[in-house]
Amino acid sequence: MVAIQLGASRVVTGTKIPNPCGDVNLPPADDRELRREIVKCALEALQTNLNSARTFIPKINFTSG
Amino acid sequence: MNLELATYPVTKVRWSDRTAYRDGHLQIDKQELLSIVLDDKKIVSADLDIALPGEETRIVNVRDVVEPRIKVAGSGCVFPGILGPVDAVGNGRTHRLSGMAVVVSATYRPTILSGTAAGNSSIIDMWGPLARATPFGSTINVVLTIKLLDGVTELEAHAAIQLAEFKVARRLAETTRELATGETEVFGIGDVDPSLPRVVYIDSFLTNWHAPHSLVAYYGLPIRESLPTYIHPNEYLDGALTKDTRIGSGEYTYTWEWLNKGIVYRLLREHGKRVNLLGVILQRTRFEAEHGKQVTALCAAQMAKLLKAEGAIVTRTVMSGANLVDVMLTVQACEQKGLKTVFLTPEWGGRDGTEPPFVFTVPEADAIVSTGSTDREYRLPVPKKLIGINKGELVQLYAGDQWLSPADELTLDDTCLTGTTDWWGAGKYTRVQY
Repeated sequence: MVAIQLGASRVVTGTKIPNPCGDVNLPPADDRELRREIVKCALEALQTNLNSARTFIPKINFTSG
Repeated sequence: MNLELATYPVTKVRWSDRTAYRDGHLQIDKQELLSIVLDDKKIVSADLDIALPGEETRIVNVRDVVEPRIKVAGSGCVFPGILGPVDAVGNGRTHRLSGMAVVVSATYRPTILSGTAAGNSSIIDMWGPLARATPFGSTINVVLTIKLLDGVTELEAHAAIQLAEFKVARRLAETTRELATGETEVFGIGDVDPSLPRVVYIDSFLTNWHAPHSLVAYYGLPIRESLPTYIHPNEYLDGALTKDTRIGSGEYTYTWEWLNKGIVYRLLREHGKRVNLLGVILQRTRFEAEHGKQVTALCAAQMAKLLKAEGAIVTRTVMSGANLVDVMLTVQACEQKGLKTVFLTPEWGGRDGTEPPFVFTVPEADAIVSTGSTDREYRLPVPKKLIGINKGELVQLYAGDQWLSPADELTLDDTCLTGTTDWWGAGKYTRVQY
């Protein structure tokens, strides 16, 4: 939400403020998989042509809090 | 539930061989008060000073400020859960000493050396530009300077500072216990004309889940990740809400301000006249993920709606962007549920006022009352007297910051100065719209 308001055109949803591209509560292997998904989503975002700003949501389970 | 608040104004404070109050004059037995403080073995040294408005005095290492209050009738005590058992407050009779404050200046060896969980402090000047910007430049300040034992934990440091401060304040207010005079005002939210607009106050404040103390406590219990809570506005007046006393920075709040919360008094005084005040929703904010932000916003709005509110006033604390998102979403959720919602807050804006006032906004936040900018700088002249520090010593306001010489001229912004950030509309700024 904040990134879109600040004028970013391609925004990838992360997990949490202290660890946007990972989850410290996950075991290392799962955390690595989660980070890989977020990076893959970012790479897809970069390859997408846009007419207006868009938020890309990676295929991960979002932790709450 | 009604609370009778009796005010005993203090116009003069002096040292004496006994502690007593009479006709605005407060005498203090310094040794008696120091012995109360030094009862706690975690405090290795303590001193008391008096700082008067207009004197060229600078107080440093300020951690908190409190107004002396004592409960003389009704259940519980002032600062329930801290100075006494957890018993509902906000009823009976409470005495306050007005026109004065107890300021606590404390130093200890920190174990948290960086980040938002680390302790910090601020500065009060009793004269000059800063004295005009803080409520504590025009109060007679009884300053308690304490040094804590090496090896205390951060939470022990908070508890020791708070207890010392509160015990001194209680002893001073105790001098009015037998007095039946005093200007009294009765506060309550009983039944009123049902045609008046039904209003709630949503008190949003940032708390930390990761720090030794979360920043804000209710009946002495630090509020961490939790959902909105419904309380009676009188509870503020008896000190049900307190703070982390390791955190003295001007960006945060002080116990004095929780006791003298501008918006709460105004709403209580307007109850039955212009509004029907339904109560207060305490809302902890700064969730780490969007999910939490959405849930707390929804929950606060839902609670207001269940109370059949037609209007809401929302405030916040701490210049945190993550926190602002939760608050803005709350304003949005309230508006979407049909509540007319006003957001009262200070803003950023940069040194010259040309930068954005908020990092995040919602279109529904269309009625905002600004209490000023926190980005303005103050030039503080050289003081004649320093309290809270030994000659030649330096102060560090935030962990990891540059050390400053408080005996010199300083240029600092709101966040470094006690009580200059006006979170709840009781500040001293006048606003001009350009």
